[in-house]
Amino acid sequence: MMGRSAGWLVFGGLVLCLLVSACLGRYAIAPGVIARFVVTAMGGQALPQAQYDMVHAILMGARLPRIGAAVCVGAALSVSGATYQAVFRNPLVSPGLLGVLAGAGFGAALGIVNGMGTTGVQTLSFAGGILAVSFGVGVARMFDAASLLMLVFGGLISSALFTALMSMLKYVADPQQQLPDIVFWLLGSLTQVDVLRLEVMAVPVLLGIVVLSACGRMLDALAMGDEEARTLGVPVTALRYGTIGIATGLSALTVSAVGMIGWIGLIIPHVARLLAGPCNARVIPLSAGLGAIFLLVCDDLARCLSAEEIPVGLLTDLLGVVVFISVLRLLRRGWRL
Amino acid sequence: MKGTVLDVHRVGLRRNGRCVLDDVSLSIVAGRMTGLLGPNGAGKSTLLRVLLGVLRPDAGQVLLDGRDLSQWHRREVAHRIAYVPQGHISLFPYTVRDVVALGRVSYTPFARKVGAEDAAIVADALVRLSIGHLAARSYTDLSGGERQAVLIARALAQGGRILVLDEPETGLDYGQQQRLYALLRELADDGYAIVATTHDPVRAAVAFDHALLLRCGRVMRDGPAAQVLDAQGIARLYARGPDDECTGAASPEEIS
Repeated sequence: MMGRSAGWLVFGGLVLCLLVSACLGRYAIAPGVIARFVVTAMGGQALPQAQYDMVHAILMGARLPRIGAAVCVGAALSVSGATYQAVFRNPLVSPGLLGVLAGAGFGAALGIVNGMGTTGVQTLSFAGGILAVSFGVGVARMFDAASLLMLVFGGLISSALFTALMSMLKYVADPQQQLPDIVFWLLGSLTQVDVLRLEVMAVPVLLGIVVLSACGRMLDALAMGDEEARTLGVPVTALRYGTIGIATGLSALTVSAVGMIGWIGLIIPHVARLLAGPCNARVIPLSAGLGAIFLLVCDDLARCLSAEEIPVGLLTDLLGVVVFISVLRLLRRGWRL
Repeated sequence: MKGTVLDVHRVGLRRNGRCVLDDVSLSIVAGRMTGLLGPNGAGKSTLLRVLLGVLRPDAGQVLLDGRDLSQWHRREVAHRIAYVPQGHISLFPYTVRDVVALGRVSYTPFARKVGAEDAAIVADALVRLSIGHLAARSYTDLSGGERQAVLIARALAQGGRILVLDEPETGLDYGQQQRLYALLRELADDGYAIVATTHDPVRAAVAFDHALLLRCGRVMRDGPAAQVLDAQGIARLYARGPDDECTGAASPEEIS
């Protein structure tokens, strides 16, 4: 019962956040104007043409893609984090564990140093993230494919390698133009997302969330340990690598589109578990909603707090600390920490 | 043998170059309680894993209903053989009902919720183990005995007729052990095939129908529990001896 009401609560919160976010910004739009804009867009005559054009430009050109990006990225990172925590049976794990963040950062830096445009940087970043995780998994498989610990070690090694490679790129980057670009990219920002990029991102993110949610009960079985999960009829190795693959793809996709956005993948699943208990079939979709809300709020703050936009990655880091401290007390009850 | 559901035929297994199981045969029969005994490192747990299909033997075969275990689909095996591990602590605070419902996961692996039919099976299993009142409690908060009852309930919910238990009496007090074996007897009388490792030969002689004594990965004795677990059998099984270290490096004359 708790799970269902939590679901509606999060859904309602998300709708509210979407509406508020559409109104907020450099040019604030009143909710009534948005309602009349929708009516006009559907063929009515509620707004004068000039005002309609202006609202259209603001909403469709800038605000909605950005809101869509915040929803996608927040949801993807949270779901990715929830999946990683389930697969690794560890509440302290985040999507960066297997090196996807380090790899994506390296890829982006490589693109920037080579003077590529946004699309090039994003493509390289995505490839870098996947490459880093493949490397980590490859190291693990060299020794013992079935061992969870080996996978963690593989991720550690891969993260270290790609962090070092990125430092090297920072060192050789042109300090006037490229280095600030790399640093800024690493801070994370939603400004670069347009409708096209949003479309590229939204479909896989949605698919990934649906598939991972559907694997929720098998992930619960995995929480009992590999051997037990096998005797319960769960294909452990396929499930582990399949879900890690999807979760990694999700985070690589988001990092490549908007840069490093921290904390979400770690904290949001905890909040979801507080609301709905540990069953992954509920935790994963709930994480998606909560992550979307969290990043929407952070992005609203990034847009509105000052005249100059604040990198949203910075805000998630700061706000994440506050949220984490406030839920930690509650978490201690449920977890054996 | 009539009623044989799981047939271990001359199984051998090497791990890291060491022979862990050597020419082990055993018949698991419906309605019978089979105990696996032996000193630490004798290969009891390994044999258990072979029975579950988690480990594949290097030699010999395990037949489930007459067909090689490795040819069964993982899910079909789960519908026939259920495993009751030694009580463990899960880090995630699943409720007792959630844990027992995992016994049904292979029937509807992608379902978002436990269906009505499965929920009824789970409720039955909880009642059978007399832990209905714990259903909404967190599994992590339970005592060792309660946790084991939950794991047995999960095994029953799985729907198979073969139960494989790893040292089920571990961590239980005397009364709990009594009740555990009474329950296992009841299940065997219902037609379940029960296999369990145990460290208590004195109880095993009374509680089990059949016993397999393992020493250094080889069968020392195999027969009716009361018979093979006589004073002499127990003494020989746990005696210190030249093969005490279980190096597994059997010399040629030992093999012949």
